[in-house]
Amino acid sequence: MAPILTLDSVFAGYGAGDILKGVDLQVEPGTVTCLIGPNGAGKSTVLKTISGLLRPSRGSVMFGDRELNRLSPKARLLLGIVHVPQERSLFPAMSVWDNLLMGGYVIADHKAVQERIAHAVEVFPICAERAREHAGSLSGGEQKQVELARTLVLDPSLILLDEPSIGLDPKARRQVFDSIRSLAAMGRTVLLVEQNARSGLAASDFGAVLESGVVRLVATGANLLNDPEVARLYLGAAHNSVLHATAPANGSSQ
Amino acid sequence: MHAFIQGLILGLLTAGVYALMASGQTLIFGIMNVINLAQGAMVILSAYISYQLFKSFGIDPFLAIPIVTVGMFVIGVAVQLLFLRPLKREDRAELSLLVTFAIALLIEGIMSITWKTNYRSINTSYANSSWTVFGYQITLVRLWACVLSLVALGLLYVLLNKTRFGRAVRATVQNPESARLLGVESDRVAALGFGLGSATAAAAGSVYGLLYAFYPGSHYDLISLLLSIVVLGGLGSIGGAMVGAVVVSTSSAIVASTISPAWSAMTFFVILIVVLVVRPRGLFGSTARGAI
Repeated sequence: MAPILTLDSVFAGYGAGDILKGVDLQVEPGTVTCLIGPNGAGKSTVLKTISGLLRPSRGSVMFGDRELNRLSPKARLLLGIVHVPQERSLFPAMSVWDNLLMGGYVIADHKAVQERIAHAVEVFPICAERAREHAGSLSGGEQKQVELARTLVLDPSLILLDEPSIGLDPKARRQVFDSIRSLAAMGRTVLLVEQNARSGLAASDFGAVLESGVVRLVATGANLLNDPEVARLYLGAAHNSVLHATAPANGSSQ
Repeated sequence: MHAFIQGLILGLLTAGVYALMASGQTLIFGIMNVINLAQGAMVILSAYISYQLFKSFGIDPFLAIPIVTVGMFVIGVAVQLLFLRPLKREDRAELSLLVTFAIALLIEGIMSITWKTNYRSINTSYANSSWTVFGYQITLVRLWACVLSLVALGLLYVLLNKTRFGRAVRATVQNPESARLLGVESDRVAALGFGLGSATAAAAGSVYGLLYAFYPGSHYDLISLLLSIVVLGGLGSIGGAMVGAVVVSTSSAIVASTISPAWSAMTFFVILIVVLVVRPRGLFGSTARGAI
């Protein structure tokens, strides 16, 4: 199957030098892919480069057969690429309903927005139960459910999730990963960045290890979970060392 | 007691105008993280334009409000595009103080050349009309000014809470990156938001010219008053600005009528200092970017 997303030798950064130093990555449609790696490896930068918050200095980002490099974040949204940033991305002093409406901000057809919100509320009933409450008054897990519901308003093909489980208790974390799996079951593609590598890989079809701005290894989530080197570096205690020198430069194929 | 209640009435009637001016100030801060030191100058410029429309064409200042408001909205958008947008985002909060102060001086210079530096006032036929209710005097101009300010604040509320643009403004205030990721064009919202803040200054300025005599340097007094109101209410909160306006306006009017007008100006600074000692973020300010 042709990949829905292809990053080809992508270099990008914030001005003082590149953080991504030639990222190669392919994401299959309808799958969940988890990016893991140490702090500062460039995981969030990968997502920002795909959603358009950052532009690559070199290389290309392809969505299907369309190059994204020159497109604005808004144009990428309209193509169906939604980015949920790290930490809380809701508007805390707006109602849950207004947050959902903001999910359809770029859609001119008001009726279509209402229909999509109705669908999102079916998938995430918490949105109906707490519709009039300020989003900031919800628990961390509930806010994450609303964030995911809001992405559905855009009817996305590709959902980029940055640290979706950060700050959540174990129960809420499980709920979030269940929701991510159900998004994939609906045919959406999910690329997530996750510091909690074990949970992230367990919920993913594929995993990629990013280190020092380069993808070192790509494999199925299950294989990465069982890889002793990955387990030693990323699934146990925090560690900043580089991967084993014998790891394939561009990983095994998916 | 009579003097106290008379002061309270006067303060409440004036509070609406102050709230209108300050709501624009706090809106601009909320959207752009910019403290607009030119807000007072924009109010005085609007007062002068109303004065000129009244003098040259006999247009009543209340009726002139739509014209002045639209004009100042356009000027506000132009100021944002020309002078504030080029500032780097990370330096904007600090540099905008210098830039908006320079804009205030520019406006003051234009007003001094155009209308000279002596005091002006708008003397309509009803300027001195008043009603007496239970022995308390209610000036007609202040009553209408208050009603009009409340209507303008109501429209601002509807705009911010019931429209797509308003949702985009509130979203940008609360979480700019997230708003951008949902397709909100933050530069466009900032330009329109600055225009909107300037438009509130225009509506308030037209009314201000009816209530007080003014000259080009009046904006210095006004901006210190506006900043006090905004800081008292909490930077970025329109509700806070309204409460701040009521506190500042009524306290100074009550002190003026019961003790002495000489102590009036000092009163709200004392209240401001006390509030900031007890609650450094102001009455309705929060550590996070919150509701406007």
